Amino acid sequence: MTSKGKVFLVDDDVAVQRGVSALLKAADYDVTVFPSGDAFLDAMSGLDLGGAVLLVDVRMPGIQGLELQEKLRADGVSLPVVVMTAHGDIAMAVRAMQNGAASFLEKPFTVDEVTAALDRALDPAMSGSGAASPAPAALTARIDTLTPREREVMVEIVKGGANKEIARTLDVSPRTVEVHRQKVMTKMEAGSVAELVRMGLALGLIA
Amino acid sequence: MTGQGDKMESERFLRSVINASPNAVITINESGDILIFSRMAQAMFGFSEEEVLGKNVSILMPEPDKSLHDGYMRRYLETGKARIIGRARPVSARRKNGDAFPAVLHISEFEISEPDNDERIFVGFIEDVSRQKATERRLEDTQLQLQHAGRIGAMGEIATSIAHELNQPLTAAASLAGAVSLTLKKKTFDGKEDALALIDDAVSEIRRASGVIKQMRDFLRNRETERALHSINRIVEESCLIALIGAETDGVMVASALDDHAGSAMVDRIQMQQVVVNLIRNAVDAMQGTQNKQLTIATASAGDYVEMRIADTGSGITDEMKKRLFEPFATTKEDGMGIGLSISKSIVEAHKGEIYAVDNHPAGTIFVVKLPAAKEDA
Repeated sequence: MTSKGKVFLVDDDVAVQRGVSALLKAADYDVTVFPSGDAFLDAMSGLDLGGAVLLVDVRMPGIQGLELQEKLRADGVSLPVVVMTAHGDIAMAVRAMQNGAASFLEKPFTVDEVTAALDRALDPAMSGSGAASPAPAALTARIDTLTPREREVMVEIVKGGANKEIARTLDVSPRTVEVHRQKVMTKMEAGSVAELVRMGLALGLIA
Repeated sequence: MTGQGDKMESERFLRSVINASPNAVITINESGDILIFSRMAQAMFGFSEEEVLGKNVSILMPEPDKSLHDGYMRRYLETGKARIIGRARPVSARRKNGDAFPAVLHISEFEISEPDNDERIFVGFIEDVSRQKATERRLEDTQLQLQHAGRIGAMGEIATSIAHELNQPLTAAASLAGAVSLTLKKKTFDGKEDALALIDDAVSEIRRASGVIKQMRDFLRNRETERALHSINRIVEESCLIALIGAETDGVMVASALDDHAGSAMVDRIQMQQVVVNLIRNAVDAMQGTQNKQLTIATASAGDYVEMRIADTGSGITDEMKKRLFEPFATTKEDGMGIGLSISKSIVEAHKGEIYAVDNHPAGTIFVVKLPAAKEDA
């Protein structure tokens, strides 16, 4: 069986290491597990980074996901990064995207979500740039269909706000935010929050 | 004749004094028959004097005292051992309409020595404390609600960490199940053993997640207080589980120094957990801006007390702040309400304990909680 690509999985939780690596192996990826960002950095010189993707949790003891990503970038290592986050940590994931992460995954994720994120990161046409796939013109056309309120909601989602926080910021009910969120996802043709964030960054919605 | 007149005069005087007493005054003889039933007693119990004179005093009591009272008196008269005489004690009393009410009863006795009449008389002074009790109960309810709000607040502050803590096992379980599903779909399937092992692991991860939820739910439940004998070390350990979620990822080093002989105390487990969780979260927050983040959690036995110490190496507390530390709404945190420590203090004091802060060396603060130790033979 040919490998679909190499995945360096960095997570401090032993059960997550076992679960996610079993899943990725079953999905025909070649997986190497590291219990921490430091362990990955220590081993990095001996690794072949070609055709590989780093799948890393944003919250860990020691060096955290974001720091690891920033360090790699500072060292000029070109390795696509997919960050994993727990619900409520979207703001951190958005920062990772701003720093050039290819995508983020909200834990827990499905087989399809993780393989889609990894394949996109592994696609050579995508690597390094971090740009969104739809042409900017197409994105602009989509965002122009949003009402002013929907646009506000989109900006807040892209900033990493949960429904309740957005509701407080915009002074509307969480239910209203939920309705607007659905509309935004549909109109922007975004399949996930990660995709919406990517679009938002491409459109320059947030600095 | 003059003797007779003096006696009548002094009886009238005595009756006026009795009727002027703000407490109900009731006298009974050795058989328990009511001899005097003051005006206040009539107002309190709803009986007129005529209705009760000569009747057994047990008509003023609800069960079980009503049936047991004759026995109490007989035992006292035979053995001379007083259980209630000479001290004020809370009792339950009963009005004419059948309503029971809380009262404080004080009993004195004296002897009448007359040529052909040698008898002991008992005088009861009764205060109706039902209003006081109702106020206390309302106050208690309010405190419970405040404590509940405090626990919800504490949880809110660590919500992100909880999400992480729950999502780890759920991610593992979902991934393991996904791996099984992918494996089973493959044409060349030969890994039955592997698949079964993956499923077992998924199940145990789901259990882990539900364990986290159960612990949170216990902590957040709005509830009556229940005091029982609890090991102080056990309480600290459980509190650490809740409070330290995510602390390691904030770069905090945690050391615990639990004394095996720290002992036990009669406490409400959840309330005491709330105190410890609060102190630990405060300690972690206090070290946010400092380089050296060392949290030390210790227990010890200290004479008649058991002691918990939560020490941080944070920025410390100014003398100005120390004065107002346990007052509500005295916070230095931007997003805090400042009720955590005042709730903690009210909980500790309700347990007849003490809570205070001292300086840690070279930097930081130590919060000390002392609780009365439960006697080993109790």
